[in-house]
Order: sequence, then C-alpha cells, then structure tokens
Amino acid sequence: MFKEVNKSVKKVDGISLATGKALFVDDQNFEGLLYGKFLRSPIPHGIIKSIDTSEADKLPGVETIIHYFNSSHIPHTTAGQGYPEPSPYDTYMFDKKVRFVGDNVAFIAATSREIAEEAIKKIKVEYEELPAVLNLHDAMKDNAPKIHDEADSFGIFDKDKNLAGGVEVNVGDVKKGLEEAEIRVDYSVDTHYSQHTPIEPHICITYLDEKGRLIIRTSTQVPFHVRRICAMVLETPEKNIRVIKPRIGGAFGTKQEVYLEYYAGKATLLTGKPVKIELTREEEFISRTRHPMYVNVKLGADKTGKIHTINMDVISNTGAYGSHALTVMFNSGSKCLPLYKAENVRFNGKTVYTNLPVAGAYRGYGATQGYAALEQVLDILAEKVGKDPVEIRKMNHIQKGETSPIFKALGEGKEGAETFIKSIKLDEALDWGVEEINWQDRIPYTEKTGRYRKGKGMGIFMQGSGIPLVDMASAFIKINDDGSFNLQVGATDLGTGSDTVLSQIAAETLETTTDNIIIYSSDTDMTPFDVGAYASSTTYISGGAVNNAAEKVKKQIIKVAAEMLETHEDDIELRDTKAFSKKNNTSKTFGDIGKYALYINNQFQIGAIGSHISQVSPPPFMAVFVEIEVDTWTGKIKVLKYVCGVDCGTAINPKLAEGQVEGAIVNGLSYALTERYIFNEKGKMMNGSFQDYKIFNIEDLPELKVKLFPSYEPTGPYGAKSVSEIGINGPIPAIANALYNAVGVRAHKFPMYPEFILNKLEKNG
Amino acid sequence: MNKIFVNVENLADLLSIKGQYGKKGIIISGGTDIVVRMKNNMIDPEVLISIKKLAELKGIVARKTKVIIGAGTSLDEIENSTLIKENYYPLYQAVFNMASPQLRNMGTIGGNIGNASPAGDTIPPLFLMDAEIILYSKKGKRSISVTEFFKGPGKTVMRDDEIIHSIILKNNYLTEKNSGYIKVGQRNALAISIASVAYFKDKKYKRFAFGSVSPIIHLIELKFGLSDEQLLKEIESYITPIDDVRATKEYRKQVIINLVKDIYF
Ligand SMILES: Cc1cc2nc3c(=O)[nH]c(=O)nc-3n(C[C@H](O)[C@H](O)[C@H](O)COP(=O)(O)OP(=O)(O)OC[C@H]3O[C@@H](n4cnc5c(N)ncnc54)[C@H](O)[C@@H]3O)c2cc1C
Repeated sequence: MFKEVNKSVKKVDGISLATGKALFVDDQNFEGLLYGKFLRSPIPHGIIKSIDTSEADKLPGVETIIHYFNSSHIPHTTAGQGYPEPSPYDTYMFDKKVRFVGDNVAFIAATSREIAEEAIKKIKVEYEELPAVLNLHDAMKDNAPKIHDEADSFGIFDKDKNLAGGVEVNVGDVKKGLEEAEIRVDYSVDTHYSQHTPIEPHICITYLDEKGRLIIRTSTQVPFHVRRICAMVLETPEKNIRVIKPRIGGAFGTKQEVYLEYYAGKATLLTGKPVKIELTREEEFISRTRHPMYVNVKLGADKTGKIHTINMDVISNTGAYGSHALTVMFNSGSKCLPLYKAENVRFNGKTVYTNLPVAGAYRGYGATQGYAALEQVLDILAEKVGKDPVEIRKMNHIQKGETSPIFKALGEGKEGAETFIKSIKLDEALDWGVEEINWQDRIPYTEKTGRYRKGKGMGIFMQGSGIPLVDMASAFIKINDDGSFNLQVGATDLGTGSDTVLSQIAAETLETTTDNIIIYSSDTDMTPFDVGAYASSTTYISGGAVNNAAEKVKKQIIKVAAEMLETHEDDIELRDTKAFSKKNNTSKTFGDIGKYALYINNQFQIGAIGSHISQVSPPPFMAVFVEIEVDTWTGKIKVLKYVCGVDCGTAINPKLAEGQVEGAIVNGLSYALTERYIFNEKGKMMNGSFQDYKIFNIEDLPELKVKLFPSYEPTGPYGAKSVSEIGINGPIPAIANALYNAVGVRAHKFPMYPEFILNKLEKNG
Repeated sequence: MNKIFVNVENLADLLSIKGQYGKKGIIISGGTDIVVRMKNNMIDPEVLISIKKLAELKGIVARKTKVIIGAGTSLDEIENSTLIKENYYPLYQAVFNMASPQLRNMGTIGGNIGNASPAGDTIPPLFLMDAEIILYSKKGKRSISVTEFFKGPGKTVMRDDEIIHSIILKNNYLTEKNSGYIKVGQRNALAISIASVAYFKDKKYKRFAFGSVSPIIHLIELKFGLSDEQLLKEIESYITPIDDVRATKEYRKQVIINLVKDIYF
C-alpha cells in the first residue's frame, strides 16, 4: 500500500501560482535593463552581402548591435539534447546566409523596446537572393538549391541532397513479405506545421552577478543544456555561467531549445548590463514548430488480418536548421512500429532541409506524425478483412513479455535498447472504451444520409519513458533540524507538476509526508545535474534518481536512530516521520534524529546524492475512441465525445496524470482540426497570431472522458511509467477513422478543416 | 506627439467635439475593434473620443412596429433582449455567436457598424429588417437605409463630423421559425466569419444577405420556383469572395451555395 504516491496531493506550487506569488522570468525587475530585438530576414534564402548599422548606431539608447560581420561563428545545434547531441551542428549565432523568412540577421539591445524596434528599421542589409525550397517533396530533387553548403557545419547526413538525417533499418524480408501477403495496404499522409503556443512565449533575462559571472534566467526545459550550449557559443567555460529556471508558463517541447540565451548573454557580456529577450507571438510561431512529415505505410497481412509485414517510409521536414532533425524522425518509427508484432519490418527515414520555419521537439516527437498514418492503415486493413477495428488491434498488438526488434534497432539517432514489455493494460482500456462510446451501435457510412452525419473512430498508441542509456538525472536530499528534508533536483517543472511528483516519491521512500519535503529545482549552481524535461522522462528517470537518493538517506537515518535507540539497524523501522525500535518499543522523531546528527554526537550531515539512468524505456499505452458529427454543407467536423484510457503504470499523482492526458488531447484536437500555417510564395507565415491561427478554446471542447488503467512497471519508481506526451497521438487518426465512418472519406492531409473536408465531399459527389 | 483622450458625457458635447476635430477625432465605443487596430499599428489616432459614458446612446426601445437600438448598446444587452430574440431573431443569433462573453460585454452594435467590415456579424441581419442608421452631427440628423450606408470595407457614407446615434429596425416579424443567421467560422468561439447567411422565408419570396463574401453586402430577394441553375446564377451575381488567411474564395462560394440551397429548397 502506498502512502504518499498514487495520491492526488496538492500541487506543491499550486497556492503560490494561484495567488500570483510564484515568479516567472519576467517577474523580476532589473536596474538598467536592456531590451533585445532581432532584425529578421525578409527573404527565404540568400547571402548577406553587407550590413550597415551606422544610422541605427546613432540612435540614443542603442547599446549594441550584433551580426555576422562582428561576431564569431561557432557551429552548434540549438537542440537541447544530451552531449554529444544527435543533431547536426548547422546553426550559427549569425551566418552570412539566411535560410528562411524570419531567420536572424542582427540583434539589437537598447534601453527600451521602442528604441530597439526603431533601430531595426534603420539597419540596411544587402542580400543576394537565392532560389528557395518551400516544400519537403522538392528538397531532394537534383536541381534543388543547396541550403547548407557552408564548410564549417558538420553532422549533416548529405549536404548535397539537403538531407539533415537519414536511416534505414531492416528486420526480416519486407520485400518478400509484401509480395507474398494475402492482403496489402498502402497509404500515405502529409502532416502539417504547428506550434506549441505556450501561454508564456520564449523569454530570458541575462545579467552579471557581483563576481562577473553570467546569470541566465530563462524559461527553459533544459537548464544544464542551456549552460553547456551557451558556454560553447559564447566561448567561455561552463563555470562562468549559471542558469536559473523560475516558474514556466508552458513549453511542450519548444523550450527544449537553446537559441535566445546566448544572444542576450553576448549582449550582457559586451555591455555589462542586464538584457531581456521576449518573443512576440508572431515570432513565437516561427521560433520552433512541429516537424511536418510525409509518412507512407505498406502493410502485409494474411486473410485473418494477422500482420506479418510493415514498411514505413518517412520524409520529415526540419525547416532551415536541423534541430532534433534525426531523432524526431527516428521516433516516428521507434514509438509506432513496436506496437504491432510483425516478422518483417522496415523503417526508412529521411529528414530534409527546406527554407521554412525551423522544426524542433514537440510533445509526441514524431510518434504523433507516424500514428497519423499507421492507425488509419489498421482501419483500412480491418475493412479489407471484414473485421472490427478493435478486434484487428487486439489480435496484433504487442503483449506482456514480448519485445520488438525495433526497440533495439531504432534509438535516439543511433541504436536503441532491447525492451521487453513488463506492464500493459491496453486490452482493459479498449474494453472500457468500447462501452463508453457505444461502439456496438456503429454503422457504416453507406447507411448514413442527411446534412449532419455522425461517425465513430478509434486507435491505439504507445510512447516511451525517457531515453534509455542516455538520459541521466540526479537528486540531492539532506535532513534539517526539524526532520524536514531539502530535495534538490535538476529536473525541470514546466507547469507539469514534476516538483510535486518528485516530492511525493521522496516522501514515500523516506516514510514521511510530502509537505515535509522542500523542493528546489533547475538551477545549475544549486541543484545536481538532470538532462531536463523531455522524452516523457521526468517521473520515470528523475523519479528514479530521487528514490535512489532517498534510499541512501533512509539508511543514514536508520543508522543514527539505531545509535540513539541503542539497538541494531535491523531492528529500526521508519514510519510516519519517526524511527521505531521494534524490540524496545521506543521511538525517535526525524526531528530528534536530525538534531542529534547535526549537534549532539558523532555529528554529520545526513544527506545523499542519487543518480539514475534506465536500461529500458517502458512504453505507456493508450486506447482512444471518438464520436464526431460532420456538417456536409460546410465541411465542419464537430467532436462530440472523446474517450481515452491510458496505462501509465502507477500514477504518482492521478489528478496531475489525468491533467496531462486532458491537456494533450485538447492540444491534439486543435492540431487535428484547426491549427495550420499559411505561407505566402516566399514561405512567410501569414497568420502568425491567435486571431488567424486557431487553437481550440473552451467552447470547442467535446465531452472528454479520461480514465487511467494503472499497471505496475517494475523498472519505474513505484511502478510508474510516463504520461505527458502519449495523449497527443490520438486525435488525428481517431478522428480520421471517424470521418471515414461518417462520410466515407479518408483524410491524408491535415488539419481536417472545413474547406479541406468540403472539397473531398464535393469530389466524392 | 501629444495624444488626446476625451470622455464625453452628453450628446451635445460629443457633436461639438466631433465637429471640432472632424477626421482626426476617432470615436471609441467598446474599443474591441479600434484598440486591436491601434495595437497592430494600423491606426494611430491623435484624438480618441470615448462615448462609453454616454447614456443617451444606450438601450433598446420599442415604438409601435419599430425598435430603436442606441449605437452604444452592448452586444450583450442585445443578446439578452427578449424583444430582439422574439421579433428579430437573426440579429439575436448573430450576436449570440459573436466573439466571446467578455467581448460582447465591451463591444457595441454602433462599433460593429462603424467598423464596416464585410465580416461584421450584425450587418447582414440588419438588411432583412430594412434597418435605418440614424446619424447625428452639429448640423442635424439624417437617416440612411442600411442598403445605402456601406461603401466598401471600412467605408461608409458617414461624414467626418457625424456619429452613429441609433439603428431603427423594421419588419418585426423575423422569428425563429421563418428566419435565421448562419455563420461559418474557423472554430466555435472567438472566430471571425468566413461566410455567413442571414435569411427570411415568406410565402411569396425569400430574402438573403451574405456576410464576408463581397465588399458591400446586398439584400437579395428571390421569388419562389427558381430552378437549381437559376438560383446558382442569382447567388453568383451577388458574391465576389476573396482569398485570405481564413479561407479561399472557392470555399466561401461553395458554402454560400450549399447553405442557400438548404434554405431555399
Ligand atoms: C477577439 C475578437 C473577436 C471578435 N469577434 C467578432 C465576431 O465574431 N463578429 C464580429 O462581427 N466582430 C467581432 N469582433 C470585432 C468587434 O468586437 C465588433 O466589431 C464590435 O461590435 C465592435 O464594437 P466596439 O464598440 O468595441 O467598437 P470600437 O472598437 O469602439 O469601434 C469600432 C469602429 O466604429 C467606430 N464607432 C464606434 N461607435 C461609433 C459611433 N457611435 N458613431 C460613429 N462611429 C463609431 C469607431 O470609431 C471605430 O472605427 C471581434 C473582435 C475581437 C477583438
């Protein structure tokens, strides 16, 4: 029986957030603050011939202007990943080339935002425009313009073909498998650009402390990667930099990027003054985005619907720079293909450069794109063999004790880790969903008429829990005089609630209550290392580190208690923030123990550091059912009910876990139905505001039913897996399947917005 | 530059100040259009004249077969008026689906008309009501039919010294049964219309006014018994949609045709 975990304790920062006391980056005032602004490229591809800042320099209040001709050129990646990053080093603070509309041409720091904006207008730049690639399908053509022909970049898969990354893995014989298959399905989708739209845009403030060290206060998922990448780009050792992450207003992957901090840092180093950069919403849309992908799935099965062969071809569009270029593409295979058992599996992925906004990490991380195709293909197969979509999935999905060769073949830009499934409650979630949505009442589209037509669809999904053998987290715990504990973690709470979840894990192990844990997180000077919040890793990996540190502290407490109670360590039992001697029937509180160790006898600090890496990445599983209504006059899809059962192992905090799933669903619904980038003929985004880029709002929400199906994952802290990303994978394929069930039309392009649907309906007559 | 903000509290002051500043004096009512445009650097008014406190411009009154709505009446008040809902159903429906509760509390019908956007949701319904726009200036008052009032996106017949005082609605028989307003937007709330149709069906004829599909909105009266083809021709003669970030012209046209057919046949 758990005491502190698997309980919806109050969020440890809940009250301070709700009362407006918690501080975000912008909530601290700095004397003499400078405002940073970017001059951005108006052309998609070209060479900067000259930059004339003479007029701007003259403006009173302009403190520094940085650009290609007065800065150093260190190739790096902005992807905040573990070192060495599996992303190409193809980015520079400033390059002599610009590669998309919005690329950074110059950075201005001035005493006010208005002056900085005025200065931007006064800078004269001469460009030699080059032909541009504005479509992922054009990138690999023979005569395509070369986007990264610069000499210094490295780690690029094939510069001549505009390929940032590429991989092919083969298991069995896919060619033969497809040729000999009784049933074949061949289906492609093109997924679209979208943005994370965190309520707080990217923002950072840099300043010098009294010793002249550079302090970076930033809204980031990856404080330690910020420190490392800034050290590299600013050509100064890590010891000169401290990164602090205060509260964050959402991230969803877009803050797993390091591309503002070093501009502000550079300006602070040059001027000695604090510098703030805050992106406008329009800039936020061209900061980092989701990788659009072309995904083709070819599937071979026998007449019963048993899958034997899966071939997946992916072309991912990373935009102008290759941030997360390789790994997101890998994940479209590695997080999708193991879900179904097959003897023959091939994954062939390419990531191309285009002269469009830069993609990066985004909740779902490629899996979302892969499932857009795969889960439609399963429905097509079901129809071909005359089976129910639920049944076809039940007979093919991976089971407890089984593995998939893909786990080992595809990792994070390299080989992965062999993983046997030790926990799965997918069938339970499926059975519940069937009831909740009244699946039995589903009738084919051929029997539907009238203006409004309803349809039901479903899908199953998995994700991962951290990056095996790569992600490392650590935690430090010490006792105080009163028996409370300080917990210091590198892990990064983005609003996800990880400070709460990690406190609960510490409390459970230490046999105390969560309110007895004082957590401090994400400060490179004060907290031990953690790779950061990404890859659904914090509960699973950082939670493991916390558990580890707590176990060590627990041993020390037992040792001191045995000394105090004059008994053996074996005789001590910890319970309710106390140590008991079973034999003597005596006890000491943690406060007694803390004081004893700090002041009385054999004094020392009870405290320990714990680290954790995982050998495996156990997948959470999810079943989704949806009912929609299609207005055949306008093409509008209304989602009526969305049902989602998730197996995330033990939910450390069930309410927060449900919140993660609900948030991901809403995120995914607007990605599926309303969010889209509209580009002009130069690849400039034309709708970069919430007025014209529509994310779901409260009135768009369907009835949402989320239920957790807890399994117990033996490799995770108290049986936990992960829950933060998986939810976003559901909406596209489940709604696409429901659309087919409603009107007999298959969506292969997204979003499924009214105009697109109406066009398809018109074509179908 | 020094900017001036004037808060007027009676009509005489308003007319005299508007007369004094003319083109330079921009009226701000709820501000839900104008503040957005100022923020986006589309306009930079020297003088803002706020009519928020002007009680004379607020309220809905019934006069025999007509209803008068003050230009400063909030959208929220219109939405909650049973008088409007029971007798001018398309206007109720239009307002009900506009923006969000917060914006409906701030925004006014005078602002929607003054903004003169082809996507303004209150405008197509006014055509079904043969509405009159009452304009005031220091020189006096004049009444303009809604069909004459708009001259293009953002353009009206209003002179620089004039203000919208009120709107007179006629045809108080537009009920839920015989009329309506259908709006197609990008999502359910806080969405500007992509295409919209205000309609009224009678025994003899059907009246339509379309939003967002032509620079100037027209009142369209169609007799009974048109063929599919004739109907299409009629509709096409009134609409000249454009492509923008919300939708293509083809989609706008197709949706109008689908919706009108649904109502007509
Ligand atoms: C997020 C958002 C969503 C919106 N959604 C919708 C929607 O769904 N449908 C829709 O139609 N609109 C929508 N709007 C636009 C706006 O809310 C409406 O047009 C509203 O009716 C404007 O009223 P207002 O009082 O705020 O106008 P203001 O901004 O105060 O004024 C608008 C214009 O009218 C002029 N004006 C105002 N009153 C008078 C007067 N008495 N005499 C002369 N000129 C006058 C002003 O000078 C100005 O040019 C939306 C706006 C926002 C910000």
